[in-house]
Order: sequence, then C-alpha cells, then structure tokens
Amino acid sequence: MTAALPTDIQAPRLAVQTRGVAKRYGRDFALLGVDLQVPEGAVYVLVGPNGAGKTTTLKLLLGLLKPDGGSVRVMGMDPRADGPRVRAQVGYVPERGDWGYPYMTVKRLLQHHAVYFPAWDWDYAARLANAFELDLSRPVGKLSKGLARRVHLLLAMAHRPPLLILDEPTDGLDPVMRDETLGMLAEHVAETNCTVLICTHIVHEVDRLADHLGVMREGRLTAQMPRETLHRMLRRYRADIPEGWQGAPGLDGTVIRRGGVGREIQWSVWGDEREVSRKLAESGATVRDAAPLTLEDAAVALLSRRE
Amino acid sequence: MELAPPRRAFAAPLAAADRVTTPPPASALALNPAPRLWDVFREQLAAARLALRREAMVAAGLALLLTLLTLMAAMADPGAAAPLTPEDAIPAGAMALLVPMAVWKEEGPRLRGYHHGMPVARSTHAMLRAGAGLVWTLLGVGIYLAWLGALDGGFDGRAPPWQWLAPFVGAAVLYLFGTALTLLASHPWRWVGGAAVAFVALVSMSHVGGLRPLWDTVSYLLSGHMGIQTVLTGDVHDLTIPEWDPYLPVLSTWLKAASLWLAAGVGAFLLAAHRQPES
Repeated sequence: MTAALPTDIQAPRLAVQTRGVAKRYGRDFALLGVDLQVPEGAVYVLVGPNGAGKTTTLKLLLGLLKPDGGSVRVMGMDPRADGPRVRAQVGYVPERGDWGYPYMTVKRLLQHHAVYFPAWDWDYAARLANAFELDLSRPVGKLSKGLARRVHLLLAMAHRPPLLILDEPTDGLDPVMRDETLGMLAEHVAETNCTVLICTHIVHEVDRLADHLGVMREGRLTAQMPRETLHRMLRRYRADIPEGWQGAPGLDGTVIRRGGVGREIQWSVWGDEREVSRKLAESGATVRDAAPLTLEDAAVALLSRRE
Repeated sequence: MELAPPRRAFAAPLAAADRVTTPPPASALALNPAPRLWDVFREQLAAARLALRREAMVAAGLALLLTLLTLMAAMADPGAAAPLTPEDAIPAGAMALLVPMAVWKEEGPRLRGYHHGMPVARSTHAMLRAGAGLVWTLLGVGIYLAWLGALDGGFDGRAPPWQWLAPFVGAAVLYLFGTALTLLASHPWRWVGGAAVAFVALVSMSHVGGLRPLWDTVSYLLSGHMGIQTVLTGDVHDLTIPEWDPYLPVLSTWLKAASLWLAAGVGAFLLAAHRQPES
C-alpha cells in the first residue's frame, strides 16, 4: 500500500486550476492528467526534475501551448479561448533567455512592454531597475544571463499583475543579486497580494516565500499541498532500532524516504505524527524525535519517493 | 540613464490618479486591462522601424554609392539618362519579399515566445506586426521610386498615372508571401535561396523535354499575362497586340492580376498567421 499524498487543495478561490490536463509531443506525453490548483494569493512552488513537465504546464497556463486533453482555468478564464485577457493578468518570466527583442535597448524594451500592459507603473519600474542595477542603455541582445533575468523580472513585475508565473526566476543570478531579487519578490507579494507560481528545482532559494508546494514527476503532479500540511504530515523520524529489527510493517507505503546509520534509522514518513510514532514503537523502535522537514528536504523526499 | 516613459502620447504612463499605487486584490474582479489594438499597432510600427534600421542603413549606403556613380556617368555622358518607368521598380518589389525576414529577425517560429506571450491574440498580433512592416515596405518603395526618379531626371510621362500604383501593389503582394514564409519556416533565407537556385537550374535546362511544362508554368507565373511582373509594373505581356514591344499597360488586366495575386498573398499570410507553430 502506498500513502495517498494530497493532490487536492481546498481553497475558496483558485487563481489557477487545471483538470486532467494532457500534452503530447509526437507520441510522448509531456503531461498526463495534471490537476494543478493554485489558490489566490498563494506563493506556490512547483518542483520537479528537468523534463518533468513544469515549463510545459506554465506555457499551457499562458495559452502558448494547446492542451491535448483536460481543461485549464487561469483567473477563471480559459487561456485558449481568452488568451489575451489571461496574459494581461500575468507577469511571466520564462525559462529561456531569449525574451524580448535583442535589437532594442533595455529602456526601449521596457517602453515596448509598457504599451502592452496599460497598468504599467513607471515609478515602480524605475525602482525595480534601480534595485536590479540595470544599465538601461544596453542592448538586450548583449546582456549576460543574469542581467537578462533581471530584465525579465522587471518586465513581469512592473505592471503589478494579479498572477506572477516565474520559471526558474533565479537562474543565472549571482548570490547577492539572488538574495536581492527574492527580497524584491517578497516585498512585491506583500504589497500586491498577487498569486505567484514558481517553477524551480532549486527549492531552498524560494523557501522563505513558499506557502504551497507541488511536486511533478514524469508529466504527473504527484502531490500538492499547503506548506502547513507538509509541515504537519511529513516528518523525519529518528529512532533507535533493536538488533534484528524486521522493520515497521504498519508503515508500509507511508515511508517516503529511508536513511540511517547503524542502529539508528532516519525515515521521512507521511502521516499523523502520533500514529507513525505508535507504529514505530509497536515495531520495537524507540523514537528519539520527529522533526518537520525543510521545504527543500521535503521536496527531495517527495521527488525521490518510489511509487 | 533615467527611466521614463516615451514622449509619445499612446505610450504615456497613466495619470497619477489612475496609477496603480495601492495593491490590486488578486481577484477576478480586479483584472488588468488588455492593450488597445491601435496602441499595439503604433508600437509595432516603432518596433519594426528599429528592426529594419540596420538594413535601411545598408540600403542608404548603397543608394549613396549608386548616386555618386550615376552622377559621374551623367557628367561623362549628359544625354544618357532615361526617365523612370514603372518597370524600374521591379528590384524594390523583389526586395519586399525579403523585408519580412528582417521584420521578424531572430524570431523563428520556435523563438516567438515573447511575441506570443503578449496580451494580444496570436494571429491578430502577427497581422499587426506584418501591417507595420508593410507600411515601412511601401514607404521604402516610395523612397526608392523618388530617388530613382530624381537620379533619372524625371518620370516617364507615357506611363498612365494608375501604373505608378503597380510597384506598390506588387511589393505588397511579395511582402505578404514573404511574411507567410517567414511565419512558417525556420530558415526562410534557405527557402528563398533554394528557390533562386532552382530557378537558375530550370532556366538552364528549360529546353529539356520533361521540364518544358514546368518552365512554361513558372514563366507564366513570373512574366505571363497574369504574372507577378504584370502586378509589379502594370505592363501586360500580350503578343496579340501589334506593337514591337509586347509589354503594354492595360488597366483591366492589371486589376485582375493584382486582385488575384493580392488575394493569394492575403490568403497565404492569413493561413500562416493562424498556423504558426507553438513556441
């Protein structure tokens, strides 16, 4: 038996909702039955290894790709039928660096972008440009990866969209700028109460922002939950085991990750803490402590879980 | 460099009272507005001008060189210059086929994510970009004709006024076909180059029996009664007219040919705009 990880988020309003979304490239499925649910006002971090389908999911939300099955709703609208209105609500940072026109200067690109987003706030754009230390006179095509990333973030944030979709937003940023950027992002979220959907495989960077976690693997969303649920239900149990210990049959299927040295086990187990501790005790193990995992450890545990 | 909105009215920032200074609630009730298409078109005009700037500078440099050479030739032989005819606009029309590749530079079908990511319907956005490029193309044809006319010492008075429309219509047709190709093909230059090589090969082998029907078709499409040359120049290739020159301006035929080619160009463009690959 395998522990049923939560894949349904209870929220009064969802900024993003997909149901059974499938996307195929040729014969291969990039996505299969994805039910993504991002509550309004949440900072939802979608983790997964390369090729898990994260970027494809984001492109479907923007209407850049057409799903082969299922339904997509963003701010209550279908991106395929209402793409322009959906994209007007979204600040998007793509994974790829070729975003914008290389023959424009940064300043000209901002002016270009502002025309498309009438809610563009020039004062805020100036503040962001200053914080990101951008040289506005440089051609976009000659920016380094990190500088281009900062421009993308500025483009995404300066019109204060209700929904930010960020695909590897800190990719290419140096540690100082990464910290600065995440600070700006936290400030932005606090100011605007916007919904943020972040795709990343470097989870610790967004630890301080995230309040929801989704886990994607091989085109499927295997788990999604509020951070509070993750904190409460997924814990690392450190226990001493007797010689010849036969394991804890009562926990079959709920152990997400096994580890340990010698007579000490360190298991990440999904379940109610009292229940798990009781089952471990029944098996003869002595539980020393049960600690919640960091977001990154939880993501790694959920990603490495064998079905 | 100070960050400020452009001075153009259409891109001006919102008035202070309208500016979003308080956090908009993340609710479907507080949706951000989509842009006005007219604003997008004007911005595309400006963006296309930027995209074409380098090519325009090269063309201007060549024009300067040709002007100097022509002036030197005119000084050597003052009576040699002949007035400009609509036929002289054929090179400008041919260039119109290549302009879309500059308008969409570095935006191959799979690299159009930024363009497609804007809050405008994909096909509409392609039409606005293409429309902006067309405006600059037609302006370029006009400048080319004016420059050539000035260089040649005037326009051919024998050409009826309507015939001066032909280079513009022909350029628009070729621009539309070029845009369709650019929207769909990853390497449009290769297609144009391949077509040119194939044409040269066909010319050299046109006498080969099996290739004769193909050569006749291509020849008709290029310079036949309803061919693209007719659209570009207004001159109709008609051997039944008892003149020494079989090319004569015939308005009704030109209108038919222009309508046919324009419809085909618009059709190809619309098809391409609707069938752009996902990026």
